[in-house]
Amino acid sequence: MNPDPKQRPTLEDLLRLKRAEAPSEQFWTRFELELREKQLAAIVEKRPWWCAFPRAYVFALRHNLQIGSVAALSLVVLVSYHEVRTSQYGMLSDDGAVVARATPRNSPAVVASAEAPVGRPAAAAPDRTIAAQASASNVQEVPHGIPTEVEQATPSERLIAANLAAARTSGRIFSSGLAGFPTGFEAQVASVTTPSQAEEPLAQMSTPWDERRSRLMAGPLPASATDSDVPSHIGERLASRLSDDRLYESLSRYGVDNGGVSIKF
Amino acid sequence: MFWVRSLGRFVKSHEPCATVTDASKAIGKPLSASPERQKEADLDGDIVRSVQGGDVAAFDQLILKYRARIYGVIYNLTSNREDASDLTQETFIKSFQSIHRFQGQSSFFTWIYRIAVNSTLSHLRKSRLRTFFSLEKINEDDPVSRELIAAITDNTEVDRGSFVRELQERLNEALQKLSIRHRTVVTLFEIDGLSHQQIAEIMGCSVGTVRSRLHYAKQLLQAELQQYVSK
Repeated sequence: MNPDPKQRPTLEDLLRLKRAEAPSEQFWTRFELELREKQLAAIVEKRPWWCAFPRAYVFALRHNLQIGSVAALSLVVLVSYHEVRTSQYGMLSDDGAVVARATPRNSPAVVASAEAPVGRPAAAAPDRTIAAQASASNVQEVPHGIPTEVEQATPSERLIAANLAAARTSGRIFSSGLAGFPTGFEAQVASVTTPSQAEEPLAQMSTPWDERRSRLMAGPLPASATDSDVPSHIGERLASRLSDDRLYESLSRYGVDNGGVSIKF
Repeated sequence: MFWVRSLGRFVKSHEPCATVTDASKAIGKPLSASPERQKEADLDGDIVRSVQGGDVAAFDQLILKYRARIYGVIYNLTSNREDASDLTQETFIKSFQSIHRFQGQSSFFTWIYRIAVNSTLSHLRKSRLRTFFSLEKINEDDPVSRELIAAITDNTEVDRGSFVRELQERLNEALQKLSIRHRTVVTLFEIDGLSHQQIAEIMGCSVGTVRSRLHYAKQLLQAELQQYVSK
């Protein structure tokens, strides 16, 4: 280093020295090859979709659009795009639903109605009748213009379809039968949940069991006690607590002999 | 409002299409161009128009014309030759991809310099913690650099090579200690020889800001390299 401070270079001279830091010719040859490759790759490569957002933002800024209006505009575009997509999917799904609905329902219906006049053994008649009834409604539901598969269906397909329809119908009847005649807990629940049924005329009629129960209940009570003296809710409570066996037993313990009352313990 | 500011910053750092209009707004007064600059800008404009018209091969002329200068700026900002090479290529690819958006409101030189500086600043922000030098060798065949080296090393041939290398490392270290903006101003003004006005156009700030940053950066460098330079 130059020991004399006066002869030392200035900062500007030193910085200018950096201009001499230049790459060789070989570097530029390699640089050109790499650049060419990257240029071709950039032409082929598709730019990501989000690259459009900064450009749109710059466009909005250049044209002095407010941020709020830009946000509202983009929201409207987004919502409308979503609506269009949804409606397209809805149309597609509707079509698909029509096709899916027509295919399983048509075949058993048509099979049952087609096979009915041919005549089958009598044992199969109820099922067939049920299938035909079940499918008759389906036939009415099939919209016009939708091609049915009557002609294309093979006999085995028809048979399978008819069996399937019959099984579905019988299953429906079975399940409705179970639900239609509740017993045990289901009956209790049904009575609780449907109070209107208790007000029906048949429900209001007293059964022989009720009559016998009230007759038996009259015995255990003291002779002095009349209906007006004993509140009705006490009798009901007693009746609900005492079983039939106990009522019979208590009756056999009381007796009237010679103007007196005998009680067996 | 934070996301708006962040988005604005992101766009500012990633948007390659810089126009004179933006710079004029930042500076606050209309730009004036010298006849030489205007002639050069017209020449570049013709080439750009032919590229926009479909003559893709014409872009090679622009690459050959500006590759050394662009590389020099990026190299002096990063002090890493591999990064500089990659970023120079990236600059040309970006400019090629978006040349259809170049409307000629600024010179092509300013436009591509701005792309280069923005790409470099973005790269430096990303790799702030990963800084290592990969320096070019000083070309001693150049008469100017030879005189400078002779002045620094008191004309003795002994250990000149090692001293020049040490000086180069210290200089790059001192530059890397500056902030990115100060380093950019020093590089563009002292090493690349651009005017304050051109730097203001490229950096999108006022001429006063450029002068202020340059003054502050030189003070810091002077303090760092005081044993090598005169006051």
